[in-house]
Amino acid sequence: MLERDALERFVDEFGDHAYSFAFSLCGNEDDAKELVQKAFVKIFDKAASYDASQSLESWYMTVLKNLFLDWKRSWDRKHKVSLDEPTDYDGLTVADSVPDEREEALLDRLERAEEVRNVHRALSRLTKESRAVLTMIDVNGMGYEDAARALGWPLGTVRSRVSRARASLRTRLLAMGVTA
Amino acid sequence: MKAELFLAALLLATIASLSAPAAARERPDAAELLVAALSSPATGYEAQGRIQSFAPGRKPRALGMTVYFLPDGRLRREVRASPRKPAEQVYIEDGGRRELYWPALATAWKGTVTHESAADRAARLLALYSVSVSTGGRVVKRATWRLDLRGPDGVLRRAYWVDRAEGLLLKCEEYRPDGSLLRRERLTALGAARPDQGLFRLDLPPDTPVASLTAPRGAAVPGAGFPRWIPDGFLALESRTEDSGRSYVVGYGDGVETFELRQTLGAKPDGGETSGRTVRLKNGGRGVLGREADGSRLTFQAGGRAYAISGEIPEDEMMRVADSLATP
Amino acid sequence: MTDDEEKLTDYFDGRMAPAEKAAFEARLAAEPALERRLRLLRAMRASLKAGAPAMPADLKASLKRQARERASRPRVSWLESLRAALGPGLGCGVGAAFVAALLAVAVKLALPRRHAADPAAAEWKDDAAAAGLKGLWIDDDGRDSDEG
Repeated sequence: MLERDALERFVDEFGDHAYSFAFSLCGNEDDAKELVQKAFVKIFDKAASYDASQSLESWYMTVLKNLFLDWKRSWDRKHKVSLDEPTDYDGLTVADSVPDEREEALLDRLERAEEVRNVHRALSRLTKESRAVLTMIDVNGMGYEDAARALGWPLGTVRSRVSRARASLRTRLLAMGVTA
Repeated sequence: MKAELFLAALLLATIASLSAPAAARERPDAAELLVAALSSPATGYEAQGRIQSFAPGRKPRALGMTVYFLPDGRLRREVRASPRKPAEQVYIEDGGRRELYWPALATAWKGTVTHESAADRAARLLALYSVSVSTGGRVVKRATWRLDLRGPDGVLRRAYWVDRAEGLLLKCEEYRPDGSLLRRERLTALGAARPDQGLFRLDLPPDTPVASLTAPRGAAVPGAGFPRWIPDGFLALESRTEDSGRSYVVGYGDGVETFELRQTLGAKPDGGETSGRTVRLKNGGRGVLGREADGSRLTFQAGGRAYAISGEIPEDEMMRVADSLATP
Repeated sequence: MTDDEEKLTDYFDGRMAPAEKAAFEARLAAEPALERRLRLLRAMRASLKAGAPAMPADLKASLKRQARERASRPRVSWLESLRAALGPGLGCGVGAAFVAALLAVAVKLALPRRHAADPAAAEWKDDAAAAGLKGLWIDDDGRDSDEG
């Protein structure tokens, strides 16, 4: 069993990551809070059976899994469509060869951290899969294997979706006229 | 441990008193071997067995069993941590009745037997998996064939080690859809025996509370459906309603694995259709079987309700739970 | 997904084989457009990280409070800590019987269930059976002791 303060440490260490993941799925604070609350409470209930020799990290994986599943269920219920339905691109078609100057300008502003809010605005307009995988890999720094386990996807799917997600994000940013 | 695993010990016990085992034949037909492995043997016996449970993130866990069997189908199963320890649970199958008595909890659980013929059980497995035979190692000092059952994705789901001489099931392994080992069950000792008739009765102390083996004792939704069969060793451990009472969820566990049965009045199961492959229930109805997290999920409809079974039990066991629900 | 995008993904996420990596780095040095794409990936990641919403303070405080409550709840955790106190050497044989006896006491004490009085939640839990079932299983090395 985990010692008394391990559960609290767990909240401290992984709370932000779990919340950002939940937020990427729900898109708003209220739903994200509810989702995180449910997932953590489930873990707390199972705390007694936890093998303390395992890292909190792998425990955190279970939190994310539960999060994702719970969110999937409520999303599917609301939208009457399974999340596993194959989804297409984010709907934008931009020629792959964008003028160098536009990309340079975007890069310049990004590197000066001037577009943090716009980047997140663009993120919020991507598909749910893109948001989920980008948050896991780019925001939370998870490896492909952990992301694959949490999302229930094959490894190859994680790789292709993360790549598409980044391409979509870039496309969105360019389309948003971030380049000013 | 599954009943059929212990049925294996029957004939083994008989053989132990006979001459040297028959020489290994040529490789048998996989489907025929599967039916033979799941079939009941014909004499009384006593056996010891061990179940090991594996999961990522924790150490393996195990428990031991002693089983007594009579050819008329009566079964007594005692769960104990190891052979030298006293029994903690006693389970009896006697005719159509099933009873579990757990002295430490001063409670008994009762249900009805839902037997399946070996042919039916094999048919369910063959409908879900492809089966192949190869050379197995030695189990309980017997040479074996190994039966591999694979899903359509090619991933191994079950492996059975079957005694070459008599077609008895000696060991089995179950795997999760991702191919990781979930559980191993094997015989560790066996002997010919004529178990005393008295072993197959449970004498409960007076006023022992009795619960259902497959339905929760807690508040139930009116008209809710419950399975008549759940995997050996499992009990209903929790129930709740969700969605302002639209969905009713019962959670089952055996101490290491869990699964949930969720039912919703109306067309769609809570959580939406599973993406996966279509499967046929025994009553002819259609279900969808797919992966969910580390385990599986089966959705289907029966009696005007939509059901979803999800968790870590093997797919064919989910199907069997579903079959025991769908049948009125 | 173009071939270059695939390579960029693999390189950026540290999943490129060493031999391929050297060749790719040579290309990065020689092709400004490719190198710009890589910098774009880095910059997007940095912005994503910088703007990621942190867990609201009230939620964090609430979760930590619930964590403390769970850790001190007697029903399951004192049984478990008892098992832990029995020590690894005793294994489960003695421990399980001891725990089972304690469970019987717990059942008799009829400790209140969490949502017993809330019909709307319609929740029911058999904590004694759940804990008891867990206690039936002992730690194992997981080995298969068959011959061959």
